[in-house]
Amino acid sequence: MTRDDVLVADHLAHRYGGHVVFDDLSLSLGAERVGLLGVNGAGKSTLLRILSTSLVPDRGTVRLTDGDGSLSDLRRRIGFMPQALPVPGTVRVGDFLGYLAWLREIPRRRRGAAVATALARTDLTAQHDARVSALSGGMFRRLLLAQAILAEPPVLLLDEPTAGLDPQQRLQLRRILVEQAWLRAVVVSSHSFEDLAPVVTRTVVLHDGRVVFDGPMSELAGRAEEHRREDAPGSAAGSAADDQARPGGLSDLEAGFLSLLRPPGPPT
Amino acid sequence: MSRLLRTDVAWALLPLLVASALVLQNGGWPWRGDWNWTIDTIAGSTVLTGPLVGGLAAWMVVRAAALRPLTDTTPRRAWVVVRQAGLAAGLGLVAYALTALVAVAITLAVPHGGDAGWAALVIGPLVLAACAMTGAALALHLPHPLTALAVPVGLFLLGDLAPRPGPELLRHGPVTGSLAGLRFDLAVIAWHSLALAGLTALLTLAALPSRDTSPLPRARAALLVAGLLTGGTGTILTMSSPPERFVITAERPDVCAGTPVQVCLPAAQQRQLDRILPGVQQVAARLTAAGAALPDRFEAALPGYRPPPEVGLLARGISDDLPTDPSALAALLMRPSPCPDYFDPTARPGDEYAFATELLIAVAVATEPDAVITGPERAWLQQTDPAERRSWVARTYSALRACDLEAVRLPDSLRAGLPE
Repeated sequence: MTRDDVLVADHLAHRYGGHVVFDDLSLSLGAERVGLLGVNGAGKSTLLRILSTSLVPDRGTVRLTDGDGSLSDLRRRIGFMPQALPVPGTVRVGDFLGYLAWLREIPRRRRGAAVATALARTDLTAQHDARVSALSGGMFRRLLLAQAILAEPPVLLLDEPTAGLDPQQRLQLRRILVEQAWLRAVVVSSHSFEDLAPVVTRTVVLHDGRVVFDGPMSELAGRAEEHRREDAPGSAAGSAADDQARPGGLSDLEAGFLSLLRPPGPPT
Repeated sequence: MSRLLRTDVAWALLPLLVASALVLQNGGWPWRGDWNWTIDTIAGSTVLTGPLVGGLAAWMVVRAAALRPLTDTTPRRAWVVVRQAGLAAGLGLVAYALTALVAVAITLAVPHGGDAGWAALVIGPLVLAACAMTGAALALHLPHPLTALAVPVGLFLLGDLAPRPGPELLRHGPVTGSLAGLRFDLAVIAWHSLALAGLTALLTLAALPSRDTSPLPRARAALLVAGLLTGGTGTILTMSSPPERFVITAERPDVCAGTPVQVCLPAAQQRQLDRILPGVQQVAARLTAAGAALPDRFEAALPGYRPPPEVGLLARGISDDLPTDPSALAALLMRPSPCPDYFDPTARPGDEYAFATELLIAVAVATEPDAVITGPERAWLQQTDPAERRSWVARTYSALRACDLEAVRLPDSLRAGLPE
């Protein structure tokens, strides 16, 4: 993959009530797999909703660099998997995907095949006629993924896609993200470094409505020492446990991530 | 058509079919066998199914609103609401088609005839579409389950209580009476259709999201122009037309049966012929035996036809079913020939005319096993000299036939009981 821009967000600003989520956020996404990290409330889901066009920002624009600038064009080429969705339980899996296939402008003659392919890719073929209420949590997550890849969009936005998936299903998801030729750009939001690390080629960390890190995962891991040094006993940072010495302690990635969240210290 | 909401079809069709069945049940009255009445009944089923379709569309839109975080990211997002309305209208159309099939089958199964203005059926789908779009548009802006309950009630009341042209557009039939001698005024149907089509276009416009309408400023403009042009034209023409959607035809009562008293009804009412003919002939025979000079033929009056003087007038209100009990049949034969004295609403015949007619009816049914005749009439029938009685019957019936209502007098022995 190259870093040629695919999706560009310019000067996004958005607020919920009085809470400012972004004030001036710009981000360019290339033909790559981007992991979107951040603590709860950092704005990951909001950013994905804006990128997917389901949420109109107060200010700023989202565009495809090779698009015609229209929202329709953007929507045709972006697949979005929301974190949650209240799909009526009585709806059948195949019907739900058929409806989404119509919404995504898949021609009628190709809809059946598109649904079957998406179900096969998410290991849900046997659930084609099942009602949504009969799906397990993991199956439902895969159904949301299936609808996102239904039209084989070049840009895929996934909000917490691995929640509720077992290890085998996570592996399957990684394969989808890595192996599909039609996929150019992927943005995956997740809390799980473990899930993101094998997949993403670039990591963006959001904090307080700003991008506080933008680079490869290895660079994020490289910041682990900084966190541990500042968190060491007796340091000004307080009495945090020595993560390295404790079972279940922080990985390098987690430590590197936490180092980004510290408020800037006094100049030395 | 997507299959997402097809799971709803089974149950949503049921109330629509029940509503249609209620209309077809015709309030318990016999099926008429009159084509225009059949067509009006089919179109009139939307009096109930229209509001139900509106409620269904509202419910579908409210339910689909839960999926907006996803559907809003798709290129066809703007058409989601229109699609729900289309699906609801489609279900209504299925019910409409089934209603039409059943109604036509029933009409074919009984003696039938008359004018058939099939073009009037076009109004039903338009009513359904307008109702569906109303429900969908309202639910888009008020996405609450209560909207789905309020829409059908509101649409039904709108059809009942709204000023013109609301009831005309939303309440196409069903009339309860015969439509013999009438046909659909296709111009009025066309104006109504235009108005409904324009209304539907404008409601479709209202059902498109107001923000970020990637699909189609052009479609919006087209809907606006088409809605204003067709809706405006249709409404203006509807308002400038009479509220009735039927016009009088030259239909004649040319389906005849029986002798010596022949009964002629219009083809649209021929189903009634078998019902009334035996009774009419029996009553006619008794009246003849009692001294009345009945005409050889009785013909039904129609909105555009009055039988000539030499022919008996077989008429009730055009809306009524023809009766079969002897008293009522006898009353049918008592009607004077068409004449100003009888039909002048400002100078209706007086009490004596009414009592004299009652006495003639008593003569006609006196030998019926279950005839109940009491009071002075009973005494007059039993005690009056047969020749005198025969003379009174002949004189009175002739006066009725000649429309000489002043000459219709009670026998002297009964006149004393008349009010001043």
